[in-house]
Amino acid sequence: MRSKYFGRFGGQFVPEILMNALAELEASYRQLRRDRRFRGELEDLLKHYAGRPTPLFHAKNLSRALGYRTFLKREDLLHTGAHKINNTLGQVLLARHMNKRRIVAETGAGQHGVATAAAAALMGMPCVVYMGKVDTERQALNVYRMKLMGAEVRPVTSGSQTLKDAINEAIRDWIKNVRDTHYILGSVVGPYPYPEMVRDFQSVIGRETRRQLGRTPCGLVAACVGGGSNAMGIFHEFIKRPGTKLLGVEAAGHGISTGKHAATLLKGTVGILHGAKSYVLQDRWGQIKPDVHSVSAGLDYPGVGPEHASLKDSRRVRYVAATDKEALHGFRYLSEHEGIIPALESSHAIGYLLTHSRIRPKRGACVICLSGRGDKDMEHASRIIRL
Amino acid sequence: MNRLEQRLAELKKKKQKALALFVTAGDPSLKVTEQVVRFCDRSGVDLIEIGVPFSDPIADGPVIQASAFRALEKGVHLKQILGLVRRLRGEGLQIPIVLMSSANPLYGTGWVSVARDLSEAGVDGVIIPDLPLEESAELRRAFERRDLVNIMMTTPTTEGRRRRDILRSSRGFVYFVALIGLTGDRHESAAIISRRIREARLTATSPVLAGFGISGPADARAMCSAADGVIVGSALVQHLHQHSPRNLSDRSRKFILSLLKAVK
Repeated sequence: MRSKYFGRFGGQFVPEILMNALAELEASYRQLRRDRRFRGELEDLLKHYAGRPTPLFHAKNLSRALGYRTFLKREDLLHTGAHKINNTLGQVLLARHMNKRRIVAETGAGQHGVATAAAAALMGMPCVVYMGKVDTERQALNVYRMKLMGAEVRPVTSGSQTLKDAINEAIRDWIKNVRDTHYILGSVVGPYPYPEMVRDFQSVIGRETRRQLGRTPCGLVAACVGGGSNAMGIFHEFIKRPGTKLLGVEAAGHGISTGKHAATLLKGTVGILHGAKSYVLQDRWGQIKPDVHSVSAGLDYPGVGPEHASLKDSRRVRYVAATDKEALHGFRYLSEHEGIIPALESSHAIGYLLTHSRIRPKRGACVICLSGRGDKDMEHASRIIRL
Repeated sequence: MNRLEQRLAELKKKKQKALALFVTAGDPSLKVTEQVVRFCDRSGVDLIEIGVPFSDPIADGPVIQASAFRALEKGVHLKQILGLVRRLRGEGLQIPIVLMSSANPLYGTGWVSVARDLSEAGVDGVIIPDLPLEESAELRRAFERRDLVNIMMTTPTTEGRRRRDILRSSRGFVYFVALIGLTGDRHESAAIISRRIREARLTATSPVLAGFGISGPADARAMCSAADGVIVGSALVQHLHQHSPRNLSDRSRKFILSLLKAVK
C-alpha cells in the first residue's frame, strides 16, 4: 500500500462516511492514470480545449530589472484564465469514469469555480459551487461567469464566509450525496488522494517548462502558495534536480508580524484542517484563525497542502512571504514593463523577487509560474491603484 | 474497566437499553451545560457527550454547527470544558462523560498530553468523527494507558475488513451512524439500517449505540429495537437553544425524561 502521507503530513482525517468514497476515488485514479485512453482524452482536452502547451516567455524587461534571465510560464493564457483548468478537466473525466452524475466544488476567488463550471458544462454534468458570501460579493464577475455556464453558486454564510467555509460546505454536500456526487477539490489540500491527484494533474506545468527550457539549465523556480496547487504543479518536475532552487511565496498581507496575513507555512503550527494534517493558522485552542488576510482572494486561506508542509520540513523548498505592497508592485511592474497583467496571486512571486535581490539562480535561468491573469482583479485593483 | 464501560456492562446485565445525550459545551451557556449534566446524572441518563466547539467542523450537521458557532462567540474552549468536568467530578458526579470533538481542537500538542489532560479532569473517553480507524492508532495507544475509551463510528456503508476492525477496536461502545439515504432506496433504508445494526452487534466487542437523526422519543424507541441504545444530539441541542436560553427549563427537563421513558 502506498503511503497516504508526505513525511508526517497528509492522511485522511474525514468522517467514516467518506472513507469508502476516498478509497473508490483512489482506486479509480490509480487505474486511470495508467489508462492510455484516459490519458489521450485528457491530453486532447488540455491541448484543444484549454490551450496547452502554454508559452514559456522570456521576459527581457523583467530580466533586466532582476539581473538574471527570467522566463514566465504563461498559465494565465489558459482557458478560463488560470492553471485551475488543468485539474478540473482531469477530475471531471475521472468523475465520469466513476459514473458520478453530479459535481460539487468550492471556490475562493472564483477561478477554480469557473474552471469547474466550464469542465462540467463541457461534460453536460450538473454542478454546484460553494463560495463564501464575502467572496461572492468580492468576485461578483466570476459568480456571473459560473452561472452563465450553468453552475449553481451557493453562497456560504457560516464562519468567516470565505474559502475555508466553502470547503466545509462542499465536504458536507459530498457527505450527503456521496453516492452520485464527485467533489472536485481545487488545490493540493484535503484528504488523500486529493493532494497527490491534484498535484499530478497540475504537474504538466513543470514537465512542459523543463521541455521548453531545452538545454538552458534552470537555477530557480518561483511560484505563489495559497493552498499550493500551481506551485506543486511547477515544482514537482524539479524536486529531484538539486541544481534548481525552489521558492514558494506566501501572502504576507499587511506583514507577517501583524496577524493580518496568510503565511501558513511561515507562521502556522501543525494541525488538522479539511481532512489533512498540515500547517494551519490557528489560535492556542485549535480554532482556525478567522482574520486571515491577503490582497488576493486566492491566497486568503489558513491552511496549505501537506506536501508543501513536508517540503518545508525537508528544506527542499524555501518558503518566504510577500506583503500586499510587494505583490502590488509586482502587479504594476509586469503590467507596465511586459504588457502582461498578472493575477494578484501570481504577483506575489514577481513582487518578492523584485524586492529581494538575495534570492537568485546560481546558474541558468529563473522561471516564475504566472498562474493566472489579472482580469478578475481589475475592479479590486482599480480601487487600490489610482492612475 | 472505566466508568462508561462499567455502566454499559450493568445495563447489559439488566437487559436495559442505553440513552446517551449530546450537548454543545457553552450553548446556550456553560451554566446550562452544567445544569443538563447534573440533571442527566440525577435522572438516570447513561452517558453525556459534551461537544467541543470548533470553527471548521466538517462532520456536523447544520444544527450542531450553528450551536458550536454560538458557543465559540462566547469564547468557550477546551480548558473551560475540562475545568467544568473536573469541578463536577470533585463533587462526586458519577455519570460517564465523553468529549465529542473534531480532531483539531483536541490534537493541540499531541494525543499523549490530551490523554493526560482528559484523564486528570475525569473525562472517560472521546468521539472524534474526523479521526477514522486508520488515523487513530497513536491516539488509541495513548488512551489505553490512561484507561480512556476511543469510541469509533461505523456507517451502513462501512464494509469488509475495515468494518470488522472498527467493530472490534472501538472501546466503550460503537457509534452506529444511522443515516437514512446512504444505502440507496429511501423506503427500504429504515429496515436496512436495523438489519445492519443487528449484524454489527454480532461482530462488535462493545455495545452498539445508534445516533444521527433521532428527533424524539418515537425515533428513540424504534431504534432501540435493533441497537443497544441511542444517542440524541441535534434534537436536544435545538430544544435547549429554543426553550432553555438562560436556565434548564421544565420543558427541556420533560423532553429529556420523555427520551428516558422511551428507551428504558
